[in-house]
Amino acid sequence: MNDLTYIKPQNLQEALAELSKKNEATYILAGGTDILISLKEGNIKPQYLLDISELSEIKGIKQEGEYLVFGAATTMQSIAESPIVKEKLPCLVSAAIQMASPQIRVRATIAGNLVTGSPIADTVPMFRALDTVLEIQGTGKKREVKLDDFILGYRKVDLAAGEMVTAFKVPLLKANQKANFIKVGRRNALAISVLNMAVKLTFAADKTVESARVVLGGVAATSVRAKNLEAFLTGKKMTEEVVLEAGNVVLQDATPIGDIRATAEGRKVLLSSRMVRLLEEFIN
Amino acid sequence: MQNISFTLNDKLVKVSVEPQETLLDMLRERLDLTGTKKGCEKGDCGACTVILDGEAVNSCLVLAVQVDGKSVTTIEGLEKDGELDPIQQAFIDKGAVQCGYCIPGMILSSKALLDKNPSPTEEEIRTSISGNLCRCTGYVQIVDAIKSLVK
Repeated sequence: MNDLTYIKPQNLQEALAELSKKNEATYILAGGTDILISLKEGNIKPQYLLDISELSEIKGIKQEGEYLVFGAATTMQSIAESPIVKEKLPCLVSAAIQMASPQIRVRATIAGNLVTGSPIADTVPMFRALDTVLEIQGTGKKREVKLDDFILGYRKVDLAAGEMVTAFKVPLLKANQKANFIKVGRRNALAISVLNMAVKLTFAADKTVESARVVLGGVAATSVRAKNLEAFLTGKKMTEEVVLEAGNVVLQDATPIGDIRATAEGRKVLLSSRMVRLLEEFIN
Repeated sequence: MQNISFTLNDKLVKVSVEPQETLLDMLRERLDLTGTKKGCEKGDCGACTVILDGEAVNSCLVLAVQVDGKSVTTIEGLEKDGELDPIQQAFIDKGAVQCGYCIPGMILSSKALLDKNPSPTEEEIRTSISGNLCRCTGYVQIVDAIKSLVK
């Protein structure tokens, strides 16, 4: 560990160049709220730490046409405080503000929350439900991938050597769309979620659900699309009966495990009841 | 070792640090500022809270090299010319200090809030210290102390 080198590139090009010429013992340092714990506990042995936390090209939030574009190193706090996010995508504020604590939110970044690949990351289900597209860059190359396709498995994501996530492109909600998020933790602050869930519904003119995107966190090895529930909701009007039945249907989409935060059985009960509560807001 | 310079409690300091050294360890071990407490070392307890460029952060989750060129305030920087900061005095007046271990972090979290927002609501006060654990569970007095400073 004594041969660790800290590198702070001055711009994105320099960061990508450093990333491409170093080896697999190069780790990206963004908010540091996860990686510094792994470093201290000896779970990772980096040779190079590449600090991207202050690269202006990948920080901040701006509207580009029908998208809100979030720089990958945007912090939870910046999202929570952003007037444009509060106005256009308040559901993301709700996800960001419930993560960890003020001290963590001011450092932790959206890309960090994603690339660690945790099944219980607080902001991933909402970004997924909103059909976010990621911009990924390596030296001289840039690609886009849907967040749905980026998550490959437990703590596995679609990032090649030399690549980093540079932006999150989130489609703005249209007048006939609505989205929201719920987190269930054992306490309010600093709780790693027991589970969390996010929903985005698109309504047809007759108020039936034209399409549904539902994402569950903490009930499988990765965050997952609740495909059975999505199919169940599609074509239906959001009535109390439909919402209550949705609480049962969603169980087909979950394969929870038991851990220190909850038993598998407990997670199912929570998933069912909280999904009902979340969908109640969509009754029209 | 890397050389860094930063503003610490309104004074410019220069320090040589190891790349993996945390801000917390640098403050305590190299600069002898042991008012910043070491609790869980993973961002759960808030005992190590300091103010970095106006924001409360866990100093156990920031590398020392990352504060190069920045401004850091620790509990030692609050008293001026022998006078306690009003937040420190309020904590004493309201009986908010029991064992005292969480208090430097509590005070810096509330200072970060009050510097930005001199008139916070009770909910904003409680949110501002939600990353600071008090195992004596003296939260009510702590909130009272901060509330007594609301303008």
